Amino acid sequence: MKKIDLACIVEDDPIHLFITKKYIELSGFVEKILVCKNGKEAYSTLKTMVQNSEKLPQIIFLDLNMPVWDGWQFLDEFTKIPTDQKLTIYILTSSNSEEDLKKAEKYGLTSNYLVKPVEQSQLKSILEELLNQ
Amino acid sequence: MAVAPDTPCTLKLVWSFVRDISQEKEYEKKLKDAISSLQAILDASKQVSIIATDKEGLITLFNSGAEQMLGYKAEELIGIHNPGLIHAKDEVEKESEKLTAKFREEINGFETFIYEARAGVPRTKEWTYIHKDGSKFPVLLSINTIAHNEDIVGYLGVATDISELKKVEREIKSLLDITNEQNERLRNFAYIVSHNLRSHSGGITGILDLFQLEHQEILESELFELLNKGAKNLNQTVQDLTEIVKVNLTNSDVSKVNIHQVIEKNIESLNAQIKSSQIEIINKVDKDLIIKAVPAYLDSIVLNMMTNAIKYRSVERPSYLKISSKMTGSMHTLYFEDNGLGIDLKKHNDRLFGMYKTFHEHQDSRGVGLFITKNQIESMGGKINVESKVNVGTIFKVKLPI
Repeated sequence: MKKIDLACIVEDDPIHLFITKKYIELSGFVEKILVCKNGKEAYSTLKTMVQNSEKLPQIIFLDLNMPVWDGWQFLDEFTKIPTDQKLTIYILTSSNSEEDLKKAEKYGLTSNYLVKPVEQSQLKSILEELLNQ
Repeated sequence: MAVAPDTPCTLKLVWSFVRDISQEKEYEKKLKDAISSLQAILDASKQVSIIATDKEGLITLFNSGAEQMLGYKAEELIGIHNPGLIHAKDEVEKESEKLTAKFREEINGFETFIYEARAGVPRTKEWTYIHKDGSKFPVLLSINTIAHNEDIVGYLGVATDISELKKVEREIKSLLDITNEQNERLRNFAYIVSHNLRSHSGGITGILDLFQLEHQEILESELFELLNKGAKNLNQTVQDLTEIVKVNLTNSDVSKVNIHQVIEKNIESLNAQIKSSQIEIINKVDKDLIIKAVPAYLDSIVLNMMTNAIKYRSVERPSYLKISSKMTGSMHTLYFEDNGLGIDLKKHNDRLFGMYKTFHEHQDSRGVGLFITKNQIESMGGKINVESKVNVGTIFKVKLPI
């Protein structure tokens, strides 16, 4: 079966990290999972991968509220890195505030906005869809 | 009468002048009256300080109100001092700078007080007066010109002590500060609720889900079932709280809404429930009635009124909910009238719109609906009232500003 080679989770909360990771593993659609503990760490890791011409994760699940760099800061900086690899970003957050939703609109991520807790089936169908593209 | 004498004392001619001076006498009397009534006004104005000066600023009048307010006797100041004496120097200097910048002309000293009055735009400003004993107090001072035959001959300053007003203003300001601070705290609280609590309760639910996936047999444990239930309740509570703080903290936009359509739309979306509970919902609101409201709130209010009427209908009689509207003064009143179970208002009046208050044994009563409804109505500047009779019915009156 064809699989997504690499998915990335940017999440500081160990419980949510565990859940998301488990859900992805259970879907069986993903080969490998890259975990970053905050926006800054994710940025540095991905930047190095671009510099080394490594293959970037095809999908990133990004939390918003994190220490050091939050999700928005990550997006601001990461989008500046030039790459021609196709990469899908999903916001995966506990925040359902209007403010965050409006911000997501600015980044064109309105339809990629998931509010925790998500169900396993929801994550599974997202991955499946990506795989079938 | 004048006599024209002729020198060797022979009386030759008598010139006689008769002039009617009643007009002048009249004027004189009027002037006297005016002066005395003016004096009376000046004297009576114990609460108001009235100070007049000549063109150069020398004080020419200092009424009893001024004496009382400032502690000087009129004779100590008249013809001797300039109003600068009773003003705070730094404040006058500041005002001088302001005027100099505004009119691009060097303005200072006495000019600062009268410049605008002389230019034909007399103003009333707040100033600080200094009492003879050195104490300071705020006044509201109007300065005008005194003109004689269109020439300015002096200036008149009328001032009232506004210490009390200022005190009240300060109190209001500090109250406002407190309110703002509390609002800010509430905002933080809302944030904690909507983010942190959600995050943690979501985490628990997620872990429980995973646990079930991996250990199917655990579902048979009663303890696990209770744990699941607890987690679900926690999620629900957090969701309720989020919704409530949202109503109180977001300034949603008001727009024009056709209330008849809102009702129709909700009847449609509740169609299945309406049919199965055999309740008739009668929309008597004028088809063209437009009210100003937050659309999402109005929708939620109407929906809540309908689901309440459905939930608390009486099974002993054919149920209805009649919705009508009326203009009362500057408000639109929407009436939601049902013939349901009713509420004992004597017993529950204060708590009817409270949070987590339920008054009937009903499975999906969470006691949040009316609380949110009330919040939504009030945030739009409206009011909600209720009349009810047990086992007869209930009327909710929703008043919204036009």
